[in-house]
This record gives sequence, C-alpha cells and structure tokens, in this order.
Amino acid sequence: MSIQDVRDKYEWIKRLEAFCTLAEGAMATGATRLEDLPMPAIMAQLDDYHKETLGMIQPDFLAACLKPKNRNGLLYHVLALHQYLNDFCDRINRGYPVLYHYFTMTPELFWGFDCAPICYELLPVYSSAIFNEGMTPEIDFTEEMGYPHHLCSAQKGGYAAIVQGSMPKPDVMVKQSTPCDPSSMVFQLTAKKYGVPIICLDTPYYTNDRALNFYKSEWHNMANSLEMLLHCELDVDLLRQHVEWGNQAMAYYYKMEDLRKIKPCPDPGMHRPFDTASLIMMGSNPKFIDYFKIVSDEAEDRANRGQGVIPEGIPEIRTLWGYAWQAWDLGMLDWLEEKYGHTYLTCGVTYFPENLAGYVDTSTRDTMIDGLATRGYYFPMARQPMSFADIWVNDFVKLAKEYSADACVFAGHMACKHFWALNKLLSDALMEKAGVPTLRFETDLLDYRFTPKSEVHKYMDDFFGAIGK
Amino acid sequence: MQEFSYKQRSDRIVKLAKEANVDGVIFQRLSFCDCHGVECQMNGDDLKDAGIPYLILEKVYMPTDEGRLKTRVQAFLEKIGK
Repeated sequence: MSIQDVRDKYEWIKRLEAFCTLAEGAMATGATRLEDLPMPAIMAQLDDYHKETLGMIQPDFLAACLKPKNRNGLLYHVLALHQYLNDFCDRINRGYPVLYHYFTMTPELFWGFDCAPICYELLPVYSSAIFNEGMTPEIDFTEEMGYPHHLCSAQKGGYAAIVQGSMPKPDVMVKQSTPCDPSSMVFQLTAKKYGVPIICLDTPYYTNDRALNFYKSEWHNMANSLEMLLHCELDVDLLRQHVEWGNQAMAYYYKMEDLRKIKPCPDPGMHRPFDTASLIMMGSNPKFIDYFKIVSDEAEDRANRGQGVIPEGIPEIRTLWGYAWQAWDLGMLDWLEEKYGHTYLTCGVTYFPENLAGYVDTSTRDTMIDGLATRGYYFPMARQPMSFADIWVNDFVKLAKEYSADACVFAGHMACKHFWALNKLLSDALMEKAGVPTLRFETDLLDYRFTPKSEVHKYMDDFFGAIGK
Repeated sequence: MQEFSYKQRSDRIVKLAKEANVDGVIFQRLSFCDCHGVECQMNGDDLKDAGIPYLILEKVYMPTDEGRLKTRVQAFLEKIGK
C-alpha cells in the first residue's frame, strides 16, 4: 500500500484531493474570471478522473473563488486541506486506526496519538460546497436505509459515505453531547454498525466555572480512554507541536475578528466558510496558519487603505448571519457583496472571540488538555446551544452593537431544533435592543433541493433591496 | 467513558419478542423525534438479525392520518402472513 493507494480506495478523499489539485492549478494560471481560464491547455494536462471532477464543480463557486479579493483565501485554504488529506492518508497507510470526531473539537489531541483523525461532518460540507450535485445521492441513500428525513444532512452524507466505502470505516469515535441530538445519534448509529467504541463527553448545561471544570475532566477521561483503546500513550511532544500550530492560527483568527469590526468591512464573506473549515482542522498542520495569516494580512492592508470589499458607490450593509452559510451556494456571498454591498461580519459557526477560549497553555500534558477542553467548550455552535436561548440571543445583540450591524440573516437549517425554537426570540431582541432587522427563512444548509436557489435569492433580493433603499 | 446503553435496551426488546413468540414488532415513533427516529432504525436492524419482522410507524400526537396508518399496518400484516 502507498498513500496514493489509500486515496484511490476512498472516493470522497480521492475526489476532494482532485479538487485541490484543480484549484491549485486554476490559481496558478493567474486567471481572475472563469472565461479567462486557458481551458484547452488545462484539459490537455488532465487525466479522465480530473476532467470528470472539473465538470462536477459548481461554476458560481469557482467564479467567485477566482476573484482577486477571494482567490488567496481559497488557494491557501486548499493548500492546507491538501496537506491534511495527505497526512490523514499517510496515517492510514501506516496502519493507524481511524478516529472520527465531532467538528466542535479541534483535533490537536487526536494528532498526538497513533491514529488517523477525521471530522465526521467535514467532507460532506466540502462536497456540498464544491460539487454540483453536492452529496444529495448520499443523503437519499441514508434516508432509504430508514434514517429519519428530518435529521441533519451533514450527518446523512457522512454516514452514507462510510457505509458505501467512500470514506474509511471508523475504529473509534469521539463525540461531545452538544450541540444536538441528531449528531449524537449518528455517532451512536455508526459505532453500533461497525461495533466500535464511542467515547461520549458529557457536556454541561450552562457556562460557569463549575461547568467548565467538569468538562475539562471529561477531556482528561477521554485522553485516558484513548490511550487504552488505541493501545498507545499520548505523545506529549507531538501534541505540543500541534497545539502550537493551533495557537498560531488562532492569533490571526482573533485579529481578523477585530478587523471585521472596521467600517467598511475589509474581509470578504467567502472567507467565512473557509474560516470554519480551517478552525475545524487548524491544529492538523502549519498550512492553516498560512491561511489565517494571508486573509488577515489582506484585510489589514485594505483597512489601512480605508478600502472595503464591496464595489465603490454602494452603501455597505453590514450583516450578521445568525446560524451559518448555505454550503451549497457559497457563491451567493460574493453575489450579495457585489449586488447589495452586503458584508458578512460573523455568524453562529465563526463567532469565537479571544476572551472566551484564548490560547492553549503548552506547559504540560494537563495544561494542554485543559486548554483544548476550554476551546471545545466555547467552540462556535458548541457554546450557543449549551443552555436555553439566552447565550445565543445575548451573543447576537452584543455582536450587533460591536460590529455596527445593519441587518441579520437567519438561514435556518431545517434539522436544528434549537435554532428554530429561538429564532423569533433572537430576531425580536435584535430589533428591540439594536434596531437590526432580520431575514428568517427555512433551508437545508447542505441540500440544495430543500429550498431552491432561486427562492433563496428572491428572499435576498426582497430583503436587501428594501434595506438598501 | 459513558455506558453504551443502547445495547441493553435493544437486547431487552429482542428478548421480550422471543419470549412472547411474536410474529412481528411495530415501532410507533413520533415524527420529528430525533433520538427515537434513529434508534428505531437501530432496533429494526437488531430485530432483522434475530429474524423478527418489524414495522416503523411514524405518526404525530393527534389522531389524524388514520387511513395511512391502517394501510401501513395492513400491509405489514400481509407481509408477515397474518
């Protein structure tokens, strides 16, 4: 076996790796528009699989990524992702067990063990974002097996990919009990199907010192359990290396959060999805530091020149996104910038300020586990649903003021009951306490069929058209 | 590490079904219950392994949709030869 054999064995990894190669090649041409890509020369260099992959990529997504303001973000993110896939396959090739974890746990700890760690939801999100059909075949496959239709499509896609052999089977699984029942249940279902152990970290119901200390103890228990299950000791020096990479990435991330408070916002909205994906993998390799550095440097440079990312002459509509972006239409974020002067300030899956989790103390094994537990405790989408509606609502009222927001969009994911239960409370609070109007609509963040693209764009036209007047 | 308690619940269902010598099992589950929705699928797999036919019947709290429910139960009974 070789690393290439591992890639070829798992279709989703192979397809995503092919996308990385194509994206790197497209950026290397210097083209800033789809029509400027030298297609005959590109096609002449591609094998059949890469040609097929190229034909599967969403044109709107690629066109937005090629633009000068977006292209470095995509390029550096893809370089880091490519490295991650390579390292993951390398570890499988070395015979290490595959560990699936949830996305609100950054993976530094797992890289300190002899295992191949991967986030259960990560590749479904990429697939939905990049490819025309997204992961709709996988969603249908999982539902045909009896899985309830009303649960999260991110998990349906991941489950199908594992069952169909497009992703490796798990050897051990790790899940914290937040943020939702569907995510916990799909981990349980998968663990049962393959007869593998699942480590469940109990998450407290509120944020205070007692709760955080309890959660830290759960991480220590997890580390001890992994040592037993993986038959190896945690390599503290290796862990420290990954934690340092994570800390360096976070330094730029925190800086970017502050930069987006500047008017006009100097950071393109297309970066928010890349930010989330980078957060999930940031301790995996040092190239994620490069990603956060380039987007931070570019934003700082624009801010210093007093420039934004919207066309000149259009008033800025500074926008919060209450939940998350729609993965299957990331090009919409660029379209909103260009057409309405919409800027994407922060959202439920990127709000992660320095005063919450800070940095991980690399002094000892215990301090690193404590720090990573703290990061997981406050991680976007882990923290907000930890309680009643108050954390989410109070966060967004505070954000509306801190970021001088003009509007808010709640693209409500159909599977997220917590969000749907509080979205009216949230929109009322934003209007009453910050004077910020809200667009609320139901969608599926990873399945384009639930609310058609044309319908979503009409919502946006109506809402931002009215605000812009 | 937490107890993986699903197995105890599932083992009990299979044990009860065998002890009672049932011809089939109906799981009545509420629409939009995330936990029970997935667990029914898991229970169904275990019953299938034990050779016991099952039906997952999704319904709401209110006494509506009677015709659909009757049809599904009738079809299940026909399938198991009753």
